Amino acid sequence: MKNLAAIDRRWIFLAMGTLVVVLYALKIPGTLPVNEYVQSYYDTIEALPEGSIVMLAADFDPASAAEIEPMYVATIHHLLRRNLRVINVSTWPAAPPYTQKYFDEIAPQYGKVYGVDWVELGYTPGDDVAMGLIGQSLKSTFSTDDRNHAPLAQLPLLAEVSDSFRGIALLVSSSAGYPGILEWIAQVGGRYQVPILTGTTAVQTTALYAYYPNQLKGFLGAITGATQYLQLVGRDTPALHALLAENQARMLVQSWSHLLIIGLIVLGNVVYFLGKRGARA
Amino acid sequence: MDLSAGATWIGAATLWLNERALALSPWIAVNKLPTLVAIAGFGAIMFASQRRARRGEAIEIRRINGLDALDEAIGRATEMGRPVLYVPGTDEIKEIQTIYSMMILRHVARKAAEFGTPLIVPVKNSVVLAFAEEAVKQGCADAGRPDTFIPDNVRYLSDEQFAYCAGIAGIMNRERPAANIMMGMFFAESLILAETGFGTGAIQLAGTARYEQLPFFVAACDYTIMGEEYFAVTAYLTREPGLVGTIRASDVTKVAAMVLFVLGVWLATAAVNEAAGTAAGRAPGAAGELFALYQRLFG
Amino acid sequence: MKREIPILLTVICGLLITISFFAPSSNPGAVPPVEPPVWQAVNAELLEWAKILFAVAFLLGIANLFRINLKQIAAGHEDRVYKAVLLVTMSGFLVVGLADTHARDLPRPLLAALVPARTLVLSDGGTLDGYVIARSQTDVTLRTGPGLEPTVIPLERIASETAPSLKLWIYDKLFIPLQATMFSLLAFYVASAAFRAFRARSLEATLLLAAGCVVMLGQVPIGNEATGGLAGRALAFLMTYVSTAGIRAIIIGATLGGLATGLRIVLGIERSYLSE
Repeated sequence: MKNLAAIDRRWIFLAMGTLVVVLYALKIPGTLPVNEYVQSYYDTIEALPEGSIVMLAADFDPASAAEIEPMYVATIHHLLRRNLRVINVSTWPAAPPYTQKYFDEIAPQYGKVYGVDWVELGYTPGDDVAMGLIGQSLKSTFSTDDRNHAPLAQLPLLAEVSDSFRGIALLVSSSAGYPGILEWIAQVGGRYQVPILTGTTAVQTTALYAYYPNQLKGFLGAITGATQYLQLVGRDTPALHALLAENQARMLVQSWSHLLIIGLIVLGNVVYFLGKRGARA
Repeated sequence: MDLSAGATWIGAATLWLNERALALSPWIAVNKLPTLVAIAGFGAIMFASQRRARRGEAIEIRRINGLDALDEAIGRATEMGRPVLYVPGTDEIKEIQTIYSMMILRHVARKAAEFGTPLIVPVKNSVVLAFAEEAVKQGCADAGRPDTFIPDNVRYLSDEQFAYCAGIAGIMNRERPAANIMMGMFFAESLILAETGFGTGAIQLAGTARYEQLPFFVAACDYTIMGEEYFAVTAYLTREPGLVGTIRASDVTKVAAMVLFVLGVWLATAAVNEAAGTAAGRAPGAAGELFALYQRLFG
Repeated sequence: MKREIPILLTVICGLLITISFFAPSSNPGAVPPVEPPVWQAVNAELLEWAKILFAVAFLLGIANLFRINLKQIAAGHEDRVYKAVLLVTMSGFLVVGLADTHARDLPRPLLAALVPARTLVLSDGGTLDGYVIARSQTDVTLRTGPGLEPTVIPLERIASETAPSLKLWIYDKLFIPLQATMFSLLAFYVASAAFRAFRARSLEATLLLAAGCVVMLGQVPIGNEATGGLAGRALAFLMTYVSTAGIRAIIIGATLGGLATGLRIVLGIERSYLSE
């Protein structure tokens, strides 16, 4: 029992690592029930009239891409399939290479033209200050686009957008931390009364319930939310079937990882109480 | 409770508010007036509390366990002949928590200088580096030991989150500090830092108002200072009247907020019950009007 | 004056931003409200200054890294090799990234040396290597050939494009794996922290570990199915009511603390962040 209490944590690391590798290799899919928040995220996008302009904020980096990437990709598919027009921005410096890659892959599938159906404005420094500036005047915040480094006046889509977020029907933030959704809500949501959706990492999800349904119209919480959303969007989007299957398989890995952690908690407590009883004896 | 008897005064109050809003509209955004009133009210309470504290009135701050352990942690490091590691968070100087962290750092530097214990401060941001250097220098001077300030111990590692985290983990494993003090704004690196520190056998004290990182610190550190306790740290340590007054003002405002919440819940419930018993299409009754007035005043 | 000027600047800028926030709408009925042009301009100008300072901090960071690490390399620090690697990789990525972003403005020798050419596959089967300097809805302007002369290629002639980028290669092959590796450490550390720390030592600790177990079970399909949906319902209850209430309380408390400090700094009362 003493040995168990003082177990080298590398055994725990090994158990977790082995579990993840084996289960990930098995790739067993399964479906999830869709919760209210994911359904609301989906319905908000579905309800937008065709041709509406949506600002899609990529507020993440490679560290959180495992959780955020599926929901971000699914959102791009959803927006373009619905013939919504997209302005892509980022307040994280490491995000733009991701966004360019995704739009390169996805936009041609829907016959979308850069500058008309979507624009990539890239990263702007300043965290929440930058968000305030974007809200106040998008065209003053960015002088050129990120893809071609061309002046914004050459992009037809931006002709319909003016200061104070006018012309933009929805803000969607894929947020991994700071600056992210909470800052968008403070700087833009309340000020310009624009509806906001978000997809976030697991740790941030706990705070989002407080903002739903007033400041946030819907949200995707971690990989669970991403998988549920992929189930909804993937119904009409064959290109997402592979990603959906991948995420459903990841849910199996997550399930058993959670069970392992619960098992470790139980084991830790058994060891603790047996040790206490032994000490008393 | 029957609210119908007050319907007349609610209407009069609403009318009065509308007239005042119209009169003020050239000067201020009327929809933001409740916010301005709340800030002004909070400021008034804060200045009044500070005045009372400066006049010598005793304002009690309850014991914060983690802070009592601060001296113990630095003392332990001194006995073991190992340094103290202070991590001021991963955000920039514009973040309030980082500003507070600099104030706490000055206190920790003073204690470390008194004990003659080396203090290592890795920072993530070059602007914070200047503030951290200044805080440590001032702390050493406060202890009457300006010679104990070692500029190389305040180290700028990287602006990149996980590079900074890896750098700190490296410091923990190489220099084996006996006490890790993590105060400020933290993000995903919090658990990595706390677990690495545990692995080196250090006593760990963490404080943050970033709620999603609190569970990780609670799980992995010996002492955790949570939420608004973090903002009380400097007042607790220094007992400076201005800071103590600020804590009192926060507490008074919280009590006022709680009263308003209870009132709001009661009014909302009364309004819902009234609407349920009223035919569709009819104007709201007294409870509905009172709740509308409450919403207008308090957002 | 060394302290007075920063305090004065802080007070002036803080008050200007605050006043611009509360300034009356030019058109009170509009949604969203139309901010008055004067205050909008003041606000935008100050935010631009803040953004510039933010960007300058990056330069300051680079300069600091060079200063500190060069000093330690010169002093023969035991980790000097790693510090040299840091400086070399930082400089290299910086140069590659700048070259990629400003490819259209670079002189020919630098362009050829630092930026891999894009390959356009033409509809007649031929290929063209070059650097795209402009795009329109009908054509692409490419610097191509030995002299890197600008050439306009109609879009209908272009079958496909490959765009190798050294910057993106470094990003994809080095940056992403390194960041993802550091982040993935959390999964292992959560497991070891859970084993070590979640002990039912007291009522609060028991509630904490019970809530943690319920959330972990309810969040995943296996846990939810194994408990007949109970874990999912318990999770929804915990997150919607219990957790939300707690988080709102912490947010309010932390916001009040932040508001107090902010007020003190903006009004010039709090000066401990300045040197003495």
